[in-house]
Amino acid sequence: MRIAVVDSGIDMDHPRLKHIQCFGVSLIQDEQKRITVCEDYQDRLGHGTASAAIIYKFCHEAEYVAVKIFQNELITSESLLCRAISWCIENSVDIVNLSLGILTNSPSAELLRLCNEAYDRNIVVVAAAHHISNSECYPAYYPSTFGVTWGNVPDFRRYGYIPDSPVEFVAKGTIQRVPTINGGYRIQSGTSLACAYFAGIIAATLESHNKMNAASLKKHLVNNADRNIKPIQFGRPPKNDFPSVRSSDLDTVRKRVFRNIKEQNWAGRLGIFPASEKEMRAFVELPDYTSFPVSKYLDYPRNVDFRKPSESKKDMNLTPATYLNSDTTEGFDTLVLGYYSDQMFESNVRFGRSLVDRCLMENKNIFAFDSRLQSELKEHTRNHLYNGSIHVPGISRELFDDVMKFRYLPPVGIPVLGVIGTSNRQGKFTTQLRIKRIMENAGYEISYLSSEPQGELFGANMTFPYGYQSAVHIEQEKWQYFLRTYMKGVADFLHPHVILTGTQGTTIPRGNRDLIIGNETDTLNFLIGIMPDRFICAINPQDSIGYIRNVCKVVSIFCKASPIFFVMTPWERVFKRTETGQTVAQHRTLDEDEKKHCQRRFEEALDRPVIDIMDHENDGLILRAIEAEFS
Amino acid sequence: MTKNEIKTNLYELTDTFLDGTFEVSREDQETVVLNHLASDSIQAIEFVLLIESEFEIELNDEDINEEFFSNFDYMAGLVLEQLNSRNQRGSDGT
Repeated sequence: MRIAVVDSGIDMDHPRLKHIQCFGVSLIQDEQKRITVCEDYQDRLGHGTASAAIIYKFCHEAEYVAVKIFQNELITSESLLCRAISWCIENSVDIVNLSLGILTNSPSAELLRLCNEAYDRNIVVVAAAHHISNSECYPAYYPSTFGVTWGNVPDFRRYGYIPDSPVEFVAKGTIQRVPTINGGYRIQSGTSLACAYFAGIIAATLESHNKMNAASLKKHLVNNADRNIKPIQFGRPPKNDFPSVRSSDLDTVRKRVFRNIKEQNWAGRLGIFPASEKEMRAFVELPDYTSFPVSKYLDYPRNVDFRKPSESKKDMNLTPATYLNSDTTEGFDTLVLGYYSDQMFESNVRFGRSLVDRCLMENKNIFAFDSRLQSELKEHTRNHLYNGSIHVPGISRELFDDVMKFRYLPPVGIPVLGVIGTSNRQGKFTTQLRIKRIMENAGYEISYLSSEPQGELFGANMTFPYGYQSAVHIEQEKWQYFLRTYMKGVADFLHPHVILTGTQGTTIPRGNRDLIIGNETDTLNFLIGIMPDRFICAINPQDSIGYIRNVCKVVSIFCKASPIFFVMTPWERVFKRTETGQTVAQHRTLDEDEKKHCQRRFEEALDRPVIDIMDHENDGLILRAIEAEFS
Repeated sequence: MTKNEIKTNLYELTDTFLDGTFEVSREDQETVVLNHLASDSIQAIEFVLLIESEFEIELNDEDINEEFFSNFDYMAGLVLEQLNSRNQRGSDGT
C-alpha cells in the first residue's frame, strides 16, 4: 500500500517514524506560477511529520510518500494542491492524506475533476474540514473525498459518522502530543490530526479488506462508525442552515433537479385560462413556442381588459366563455390556470371556480400559477376520486435542500445571458422566448431559467417565480445561494452552450422616492443569484435616457455585466381615468414613424442597437450581436 | 509506588513548574491548574516532558489529551500504567 502525505514534508529521522519506508518530492511554484518537482521533502514545519506519524501508528507496512507543498509556512496555492493530487494519481498512490483545505464557496473545476478522477480510480482522498464547522472547505466538501472533522474520541481507533452533513466522518482531533521536526514534540489539536487518524483507520481497513473499492469502502466505514462519537461544534452556529453536500442518493437527486426539458411529459394539450391575463400573452402570441400544444383559450365572461386588443389577440381563437357547457372543457387535458381569483367581478371569479371544478371532475391536470390555490386544489383531490395531477411551479424548501447539495460544483464556466427591463409589461418573457428560439435554430443548446410561472411550459428547465403571488418559498437571503448553485448544476450536468434567464418587473425604483418600492429588491436579489455575463434590456418609448443608463449601471455594479442591445416594445403607456373614477394604464401602439424615431434616439444615446424583438427580420442581427459578445 | 504517591509527586512537580501560582493540591483547583497548563502549548509539552523525565517513562501521545489536562487522577493512572509496564518489561528481561 502506498500512502501519500500531501503536506510540509516528513522528518524521517524522528523516533516515532523509526523503520518507516518513505520517499518523497517537493512541488515548488515560482513567481511565474510554474511548478517544478524536486527531491527535497525534508519537513521544516512539523505539520506533515505529525500527520505521517499518526498514520504510521496504524500501518507500518505501507510505503509512505511525502508530497511537500508547504515550504516555509502553512500556506499553499490551489494549483499546487491540484498538482499534488495529480502527482499522486500518476504515481499509483492508494491513500492521499490532505490535512489541509481551501476555504471558498467557489471551488475550482480542476480540483473537483482531480478528486473525482482519484475516486474513480479507487484512490482514497482523505481531506480535513475547517475547524469552524460551518465553513465550506474543499476538497473535504466534495462527495468524492472522505471529509473528516474533529471530535472528542477516547479510543483513537474509533471514529464517528455524521449523517446528512457536508463532512461525514469524525476522528480524534482534540488536544494531544504529536511529533514535530528535529525529533521533538508539541501539543496540538484540530481537524488536521483528525484527518490523519482517519487516513490511518482507512489504511488499516484496506489492509484487512484488500478488495474494497472507494464506494464500498465508504459504505463499510459508514456501517461501522461509532454512533456515539460527535463532532466538536466550533465557532458560530451556521448562518445558513444548508443541507448536506453528501447524500447517498446524490445521483437520483441530480437527475430530479437538473432536468432536461425534453424529459418532461406530464402534460398533453393545453387549455389556457384566463387568456386575457398578461401572463398568458405568450400562449396567445407565440403558441408554437410552447412545449405542449395549446388547443383551447378560455376567458372571463365579463371583459376586464381595458387595453385595446392587439392585432394578434383579434386573430386568436378565444372561446367567449360566458357559461360552461359540455364543449367548454373538450380538447385539452391540462388547464393552465392564471390568477382568476383576484378578479374584481364576482361573476368572473365564480366562472373560474366552476371551470376548475369541472376540470377536476374530468381528471384534467391543473398547472396553476397561483400558489395560494395549491392547498385548495389538493383539498379537492382528497375529497374526490381524482386521477390527474396538480402542478404549481415554484421553489419549495425541499427543492432548495436538493439543489444546495450541489454547492461543491465549480463556478459557472459558460455564458449566462439575462433579460432585464426598465418596467413591467414590456415583453421580457417574450424576449427570452424569442432569443431562445433564435439561438436554438442556430444550433445552440440553451438551458433556460425562467422567473415566470408559465416558463416551464415554454421549455424552461426551472422557474423561479418571484413576482406576483410569489411561489418562492425560501428566505430572500438564500436566493443567491440557491440560484448560483442551480446555475452551477445546469452548467456542469446539462452542458448547454448558454444559460438564458430573465427578471420580472422593474429593476430600479422610478419616480417619487416617497413611493413604496415594488419588487425591485427581489429583482436585484435574483440578478445577484444568476449573475449574468451580458444582458439585454427591455425599454419603453417614454423612458428617459438617464433612467435607462441608471438601470444598466445598477446591473453593471452588482453583476459586472453590460448590455448587448435593447429591445423596445412599441407601446406607450398612458394613464387614464375611467368612468368609475379608477386610474388605469392603457397602451397606445406607436405608429412606424414614431417607433423608428424613438429607436434612433435611443441608439444614438445608448450606443447599442435597439431592436424590435417580434420582427423576424431581426433574427440574424440578434444572433450576431450575441455571438459577438460571447465568442 | 502507589497511585496516591504518584499523585502527590505530580502535585509537587506541578507546583514547582508553575512556581506557586496556584494552590495545586486543592481538588477544586485541579481543572483550573491543568487548563492553565494546556492553554500554552509550549508550556504544556514542557510539562509532559518533565513528568516523563521525572518518572523515567514514555507516555503514549494520544493519552495526553483533554482528560490529562483536567484531572490529576487520570494523569497518575497513566504514570502508574507506564511504570508497571516498564517494571513488567524489566522482569521479562526485555
